[in-house]
Formats: sequence, structure tokens, C-alpha cells
Amino acid sequence: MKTMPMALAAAFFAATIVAAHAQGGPNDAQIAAIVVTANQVDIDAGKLAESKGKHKDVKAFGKMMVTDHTGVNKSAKDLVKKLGVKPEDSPTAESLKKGGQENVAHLKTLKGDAFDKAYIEHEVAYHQQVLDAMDKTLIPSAQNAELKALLVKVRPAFVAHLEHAKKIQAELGA
Amino acid sequence: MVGQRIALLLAVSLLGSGPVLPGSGPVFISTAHAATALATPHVVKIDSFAFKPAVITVKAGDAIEWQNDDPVPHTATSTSGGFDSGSIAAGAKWRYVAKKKGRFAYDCTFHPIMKGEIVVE
Repeated sequence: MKTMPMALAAAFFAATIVAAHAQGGPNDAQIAAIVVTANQVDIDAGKLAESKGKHKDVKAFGKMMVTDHTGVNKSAKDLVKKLGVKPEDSPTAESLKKGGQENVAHLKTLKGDAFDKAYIEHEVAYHQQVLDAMDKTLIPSAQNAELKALLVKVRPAFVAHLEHAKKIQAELGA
Repeated sequence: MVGQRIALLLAVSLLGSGPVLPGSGPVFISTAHAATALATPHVVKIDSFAFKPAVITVKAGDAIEWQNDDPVPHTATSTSGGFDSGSIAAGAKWRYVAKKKGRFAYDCTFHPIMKGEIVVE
């Protein structure tokens, strides 16, 4: 896993999310945990990019990831509290967490241009895979109307981040 | 601060004195521009990473208020340098009085795929 290219690792996560919920989608408590974990993973990577990134666009992107995913997480946590749902672990949340930890560990071994390239490459793949998971699994599976509405509302954040990351990737010539 | 407070009181008192629907109310036709602007801001909602409506047409001197309904900060920033809200926090608002006539494209500097336009007549 350690040498697995990040894009492949993200694809692996997408396969896991589908396989893990093949017999019916995740329940709302599991979706809540998946959303919180997905945001947290990108906050952690963003913090690293903010401090270790070389190009100013990469640093700024990392900072924005921290701000935006913290904001999205706050609204998710507020809703979960309001609904009285207790976030529940699932293979998907576990896989996300593990993938995030591996990404951060990998990025910590890199410096300069190599760091920027790897970070942005992972951000592109990660946001694409989260979007796929939202469209194919999370949004269709959500039972509670407010939870579903929240997912639909924050979906464009992932689209905006994906487009932005792709633009930076092109600028870096990655 | 005191000026803002007075302006707010004025706006509130105007609100209480009659219908203030945008474009309505002969009450305000004879009122000073500034008071009209305070009483009837045009509202652009920032929701799901989009400006709604994306294009808004106003009269010179009208106020426009951006209301951020997203859980993340956004900006409303003229691409030609006319105005810049700076960061509008989640749940916050930013008001701008459009004085110059013309078409002004703007975007969110944090999320450049978010685009809008003000048409000032």
C-alpha cells in the first residue's frame, strides 16, 4: 500500500465503498460517520500542505481545504446532533481513515515540487472519488430528508474543489 | 458605529412604515437614494456554491446584499476591481451600494468556478 500511487489508492477506496455496502447502502448513522471522516481526512492533508507546500497556490489550496471541510464538518456535526444520530463506524469510514493516514504519511516523506505534485494529485483523485461515492452511494442511501439535503447542499463544494485542484495540477505541469 | 446604528434604525423604521418590496412603494420614490438603498436591498443568496440569482439588475444607488447560506466562507469580488467583499463568513451578509452604471462580472476568489454579474442601470 505504501508505494501504491495515490490515484490508485483513491480508486481502491471507491471500490471498497461499493463492495462494503453491496448488500444495501450504508445507514444514516454510517453515512454521518463517513461524511465526518471524509472531511477530517482532507483537513489533515490540507494542514500539511499549508505548512509543507512549496507553491503559493498549493499552500492556499491546502488552507482552503482546512477552512471549507471544517465548515462542512461543522454543519454535518450540528445536524447529527440535532437528529440525535450517533455516528457509526463502517468499513468505508475505516478505509477512508486508513487511506488518509497513508496519504499523510506518504506526503511527509516528500519535499518541494514532489510534495506539491503528490498532494494535488491525491486531492484530484480524492475529490473525484468522494463525488462518485456521494452520487452512487451516500445520497441515494440517505434515509433522513435533512441528511440527504445536507449531502446535496455540500456536494458542489467537492465539485469546486475538484475543478480548482485540476487547475493547479495543470499549472504545476503534473 | 454610531452612524451605522442610526442607519439601521432608519432602515428599521422605514421597514415598519409601509411595503418595501423591491421596486414597489411610491413611498420611497421621493425618498433619498441612500434611504431607499437601506430599505430595499436586492438580495443575492450564496447557496450550494452558487450566486442566486447569478445575474442581478439594479438601479444606480441601489444596495445589494450577499447572504452566505453555505457552511463555508465565500467572497463576491469584481473581476475588474470595482468591489471586493473580502471573506463573507458562513451565515454572514455583505452589502454594497452599486453607484456606477454598467455590467460588472464577479466571482468568489476562494472558489473561482462561482460566477455572478451585476447589471447597474
